[in-house]
Amino acid sequence: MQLTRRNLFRLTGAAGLAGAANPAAAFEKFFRPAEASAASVSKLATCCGICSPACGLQATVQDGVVKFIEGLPGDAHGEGHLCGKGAAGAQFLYDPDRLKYPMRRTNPRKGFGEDPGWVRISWQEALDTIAMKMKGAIDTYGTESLLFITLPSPDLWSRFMNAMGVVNRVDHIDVCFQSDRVIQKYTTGGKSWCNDFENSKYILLFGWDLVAKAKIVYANGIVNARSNGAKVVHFSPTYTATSRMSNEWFNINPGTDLAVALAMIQVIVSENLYNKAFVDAYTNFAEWESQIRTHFEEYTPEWAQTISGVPAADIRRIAREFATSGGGIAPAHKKTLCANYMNASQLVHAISILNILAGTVDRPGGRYFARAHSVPGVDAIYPPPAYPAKKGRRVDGRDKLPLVQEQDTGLFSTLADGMLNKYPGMIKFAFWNAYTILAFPTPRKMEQAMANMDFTVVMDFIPTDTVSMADIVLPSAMYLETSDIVTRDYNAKYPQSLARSAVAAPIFETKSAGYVAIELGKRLCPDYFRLSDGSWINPNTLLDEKAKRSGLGTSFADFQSKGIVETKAAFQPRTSFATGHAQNKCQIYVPQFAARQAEALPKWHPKRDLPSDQYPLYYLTFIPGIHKRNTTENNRILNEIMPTNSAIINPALAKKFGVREGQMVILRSRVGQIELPAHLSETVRPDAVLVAHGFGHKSRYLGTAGGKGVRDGDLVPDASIDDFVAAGNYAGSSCIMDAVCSLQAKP
Amino acid sequence: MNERLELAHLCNEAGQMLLSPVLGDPEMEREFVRLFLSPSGAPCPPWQSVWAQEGEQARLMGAAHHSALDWYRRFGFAPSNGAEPADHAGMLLLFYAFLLGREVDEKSTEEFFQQHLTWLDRPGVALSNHSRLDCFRDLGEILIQISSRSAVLA
Repeated sequence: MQLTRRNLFRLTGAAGLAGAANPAAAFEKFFRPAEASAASVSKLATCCGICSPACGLQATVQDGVVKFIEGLPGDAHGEGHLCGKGAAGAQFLYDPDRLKYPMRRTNPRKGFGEDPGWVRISWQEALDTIAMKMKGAIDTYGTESLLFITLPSPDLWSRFMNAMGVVNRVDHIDVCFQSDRVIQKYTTGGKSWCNDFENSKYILLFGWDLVAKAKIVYANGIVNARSNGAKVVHFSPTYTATSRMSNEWFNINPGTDLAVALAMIQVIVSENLYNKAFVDAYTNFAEWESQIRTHFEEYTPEWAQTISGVPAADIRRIAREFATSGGGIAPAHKKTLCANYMNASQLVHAISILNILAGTVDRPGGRYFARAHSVPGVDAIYPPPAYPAKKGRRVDGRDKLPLVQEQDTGLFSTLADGMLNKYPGMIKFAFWNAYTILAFPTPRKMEQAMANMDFTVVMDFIPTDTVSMADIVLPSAMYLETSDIVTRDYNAKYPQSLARSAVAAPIFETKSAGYVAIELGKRLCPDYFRLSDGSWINPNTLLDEKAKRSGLGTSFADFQSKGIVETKAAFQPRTSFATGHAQNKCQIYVPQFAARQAEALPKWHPKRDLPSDQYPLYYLTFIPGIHKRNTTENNRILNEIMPTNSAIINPALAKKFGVREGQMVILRSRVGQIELPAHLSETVRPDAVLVAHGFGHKSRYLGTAGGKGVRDGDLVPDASIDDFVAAGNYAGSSCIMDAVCSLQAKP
Repeated sequence: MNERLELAHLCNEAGQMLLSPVLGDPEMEREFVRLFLSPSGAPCPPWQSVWAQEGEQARLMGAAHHSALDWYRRFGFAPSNGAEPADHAGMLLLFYAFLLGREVDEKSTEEFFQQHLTWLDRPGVALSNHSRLDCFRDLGEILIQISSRSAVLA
């Protein structure tokens, strides 16, 4: 083809370019006069937003572009350091795949193989359409037809959902720490993230690989604890970084930690080794002593040995050491065994009892409650009209678990079953905010559940698998582009607050969830977003008010200029625990549990799926320290470090099946199969297979992570709310690792 | 019109076509998004930093963005929309057209061309291969030719 300018003119004419023939007009449209100046480079302080400890960081910014990120010296969480994810943060911002503009689908057929026929639309059109679709669903099918898959933050977003009476909001908390939240509410008075490892004498870790999980505040805590002479004991079916940092590691049978914890309680109670001063003064032990002693009698170390494989003599010895150490702590956390097995509700209760018996609840060396500045939320600053009652059915069945129903969360693990089987067709409108299908324990089922959704909105920063099902895509701003007040809640013996500052302006047309909340609020529930003077809530003014009312500054800018505000004060241990007990004591025996069809004291329950002739291997999963669940795999730096997953198996198992390093193997469970390369490692038991979570993004939209690896969840059996009720899983712990499988070398 | 001005017009028009969302024609609108902006993996992302050179990492707002900003600044300009990368192919073409039209010294014009336009053959080839519409296929051919300055002027 021979090109001429005349030809091009015809092309540009076809494209509808106004003023194509006027070069000066075009130039003036896209360029503005500016003073000639040198590039500006500055260092700005903020905090990380990849995970909840929000480590302090400083960003080197050139001409508004983040060039380098490092830890913030003097910060109590990162201690001047960042994990790999935090340090690679700039790559999230400038990922070429980043969602850039609101988009609308023009092809009604959805799925990974379909071209959605996206067209770019304005934010106004996107928000108008979303509001219209929401209203249409409510008017025709009721509020129960809306599904919001999102965290309840920021507070503006929560206000919007409350104003709309949204019944079905779910987030991932049940696959992380919901069990701990439910149990701690009634045993010690509330969920806390604070573990005073530095002052601990004896640290008992059930499954949690907290050194490798890259929460620096915890990893440093364990390192400091060891330096200070603490003893660390780790029960884990895989040998991890935490195992290496421990004095003793026990290769426990998967899913049997509960047996060991129950036996340790039995030893401590029967031998009266508990911290008598604490237990007598601050717990309900005396009120239920007879029931407690009788209940645990049967759980002897010898009994636990037969189940867990941990020698009875070691269980007895460790129980004694722990109880008499004068500073024992047993933390419980997320996506470890606490969340992963059907018996995790009981396990978390048992762990809480161990802490209470050690007498370290809100004491040096134990789990303590964060001392934090009181920062008011939007509802305290601008009191809303009364919210409407939430009417309608819970699609995840949460209402069948009374203790979970008290929590304002939902159940990822039972959502797909609810949408497909319990209430098929009930959900008509879905809004996904920063979650992908991979986040669900059974992603295959969620794909099916979403396939016929009337209208789906996806707000995210990269095009995850969920985008293939979206009708409208909204590009989300990220933590380095937004501002907020962050109160410390991991290392918080005295109140500390950090300013999260936008170190870079949002790129393209990305916006925050707060913006979407206000704009949808204006369209659908204006009374909740209009102030008494007739103006709309302004997020910047709101931030100023928060800073002022919490005493952190005269304005947010003033607070920003300080960076960190600390209110140093001596740690005063609590003497009152808001557990619901009449005298505000910690509760070992929990009568409120009994009143809600749950166990007042934890009983032994096996995990759901046990090895059989057909599926002889335990199926274990983990989140690599270099990735955050299923959201960081497209980061080119992190992907370079760990691009995919494999079936990690013991060399003895490999030999038995004739598998070589790198050879493809097929793993089968009762619900599916996956194929991936084998990696041989002594760190895994010969009766188990270990697979990393977070891989297997199907989306071809993800230029780096798409198509790499397999989804660990494709082997995990589905769960229904009825399964949970029948199994006594009263705290709604998901079963994201409760599976067994077979292995076959691929010919 | 001399060849230099003719090339300036060509770059100007190609630049506008790359920068302006196509409005009014649903088919062209969809194709524009699919080729350049799609969340479903656009085959021709229009930013130089994304078409990384050997040894560089593909990203938005990389070295080419800063270099382009420096060029604009040197001549007293900045992008009107600061939220978007400065190394968008359309911006680079408009600026090159400006340099050609102003008869800025040959050395600077050539330097800018070498730093910021020789990569255009890569999205040009991608456009030619992936476009479902003739006009964008032709635009791809034009980008290839501009990248080597072999456009045949009529």
